[in-house]
Amino acid sequence: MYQYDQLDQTIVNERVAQFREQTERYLRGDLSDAQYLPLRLQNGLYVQRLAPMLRIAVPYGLISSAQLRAIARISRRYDKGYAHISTRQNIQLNWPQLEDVPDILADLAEVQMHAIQTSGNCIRNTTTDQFAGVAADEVVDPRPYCEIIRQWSTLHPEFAFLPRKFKIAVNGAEEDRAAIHFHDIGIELYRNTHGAVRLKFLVGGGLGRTPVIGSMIRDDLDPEHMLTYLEAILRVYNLHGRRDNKYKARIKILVKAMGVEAFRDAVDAEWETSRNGPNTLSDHALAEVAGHFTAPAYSAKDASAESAFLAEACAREPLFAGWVKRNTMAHKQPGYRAVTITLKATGQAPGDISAAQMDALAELADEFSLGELRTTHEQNMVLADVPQSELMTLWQALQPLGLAASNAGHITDMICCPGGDFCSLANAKSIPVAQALQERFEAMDYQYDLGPIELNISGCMNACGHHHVGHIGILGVDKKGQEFYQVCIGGSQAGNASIARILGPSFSRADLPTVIEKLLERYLELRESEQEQFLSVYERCGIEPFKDAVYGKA
Amino acid sequence: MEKPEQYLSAETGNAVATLHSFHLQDWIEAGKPAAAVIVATEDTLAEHYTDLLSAPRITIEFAGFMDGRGFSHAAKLRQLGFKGELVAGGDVLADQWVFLQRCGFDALDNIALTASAETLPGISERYQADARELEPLFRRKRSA
Repeated sequence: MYQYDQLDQTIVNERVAQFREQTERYLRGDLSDAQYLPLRLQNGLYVQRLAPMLRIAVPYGLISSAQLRAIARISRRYDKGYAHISTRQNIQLNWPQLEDVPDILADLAEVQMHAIQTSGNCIRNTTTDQFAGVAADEVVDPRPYCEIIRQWSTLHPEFAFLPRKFKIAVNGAEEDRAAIHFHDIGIELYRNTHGAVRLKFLVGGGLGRTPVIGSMIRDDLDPEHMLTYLEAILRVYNLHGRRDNKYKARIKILVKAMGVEAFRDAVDAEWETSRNGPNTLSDHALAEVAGHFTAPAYSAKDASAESAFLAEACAREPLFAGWVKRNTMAHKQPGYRAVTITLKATGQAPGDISAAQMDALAELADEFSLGELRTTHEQNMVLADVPQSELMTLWQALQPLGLAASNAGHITDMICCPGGDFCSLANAKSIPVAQALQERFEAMDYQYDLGPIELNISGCMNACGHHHVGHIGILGVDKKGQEFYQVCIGGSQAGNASIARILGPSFSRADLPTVIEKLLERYLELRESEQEQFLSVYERCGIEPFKDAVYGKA
Repeated sequence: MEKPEQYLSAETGNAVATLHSFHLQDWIEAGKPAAAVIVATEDTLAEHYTDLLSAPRITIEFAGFMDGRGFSHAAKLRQLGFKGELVAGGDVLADQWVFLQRCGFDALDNIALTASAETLPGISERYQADARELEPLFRRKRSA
């Protein structure tokens, strides 16, 4: 993974010193709340319902074992001994003291981490496929491009006070695991007929109050122009995006208002000024960054022997076989698998991980996966480089940690925002909903019968829980001070991007598990084979049979 | 309407003699003379770039410190080759001074604010090319 040089380290260290001084001025009363607001937000610090929340950047989801140990240490020293994996692959601390935050940032800087631009109206952490660099279906490794975007967007002087937050995602695989259709900018990396890397740009996608699928504005950009083209898009947005209404300030609203063609023309006109300018990437610069992401030293073990070993272990232990099937994924390197560790244990907030679990996972990463981990936007963690013959040992080691659930991609592996328990924006709680559903659908046989299904929960229309793109989505709404929940179905974050449709009138929290169960039962009745997944049935049969299942008179 | 004003020279750090400035609309109505111009962040400059480039000074008045349009106006003017003086007026924070400079501003029109901005800790290295540093980091030390 990318290692800081002295220059990266200088920037992060000086940023910590700068924020320490800003916080001192705020605590002295020399900065008002309004003046301190953008400064703290751009250093990851929110003021939440109960306490501040600090969001730590995990650039494109890559984290080393040493970094994860540092998070564990920080969570013990400054917080309540746990952390939360966010839907932007970042790590959040829910209980820091404002006065401690400069010290936390200094501790993070020691392991090449920071909280820069994890909040505020600026360019946020760029996200990508959690299997970047190892996925068998990968066409172009997105990590060097993400790192170049990270550097370019970090403390960019022109784009720190945008109309609204700005999120970029990059995908380089056949299957889109980065949800690029639902970002302010989505970049698809592919190879043209000559084998050269090209970039396709989608713009104006997003969730929130107004879910929109991104529109393609360029489909054949040479990588050398990536930064100047990004700059042109950002400048058009910065100058013309709405600033009078925060709910209409995202780039998706601007693209809709201008029309895709006019927006593209405006970007092209802007690009004329900077195209081939100093931010044009050289082959040398690209190659240098790519040099940080070369294939690791995979062991020289015989791949077919590795596979045979795994097959034998699976035959011996059916529970293990199920975990391998659901929680591991095909790897570029023969003899290896990528492992998803779900953080969705019943009774625990989705995405939460204790300090002890972090330490233990760091150990396992050192032992089995080259000392690296990934965070996922499904709020899980990944060990990306595990030899197949080690999977059984890893699975056994995960069990006492409560991290061996073989539910990846299944109904209890849900995405869930922190909701009304923590967030001051939320209309309703979301974590108790997740827990009630986990309890209802805990039976593994039932989950496996349902097959892969994505269930996403947001506590308000800001949609941090991505409910619009869940196969089943749940949205917390406020009705005269009461918490209610709207259910939608048919969303997809993948290449066949779609936005879920609302089923009908909302439900009380107590009714939700039964409502979801009725939807799942209807799906089981309708499916033509075990291979036909929930989303396919919805696409084939439409929303009506599901409405009937929930609202129809029995 | 003309507005006399005082501003801080980037070269000497002293308050210097006033220049008469035109607000954008008055400047357009006066036939776009080569004079100092005051623009608001919400003004559309696109049609006037060519004439603005010959102004001796452009003051960009920020409607609020969260209104980042002024940064793009300045960066664009510098990119197009504006050689005159760029002054940030209106509601800006001392903490924004480094980014303002990097976008091509020479001065804040508030002398007291400039003085306090100069005492704040900054960040000595930067990744991007900007109005001051013409080469991005990947073209400078790293490629040596």
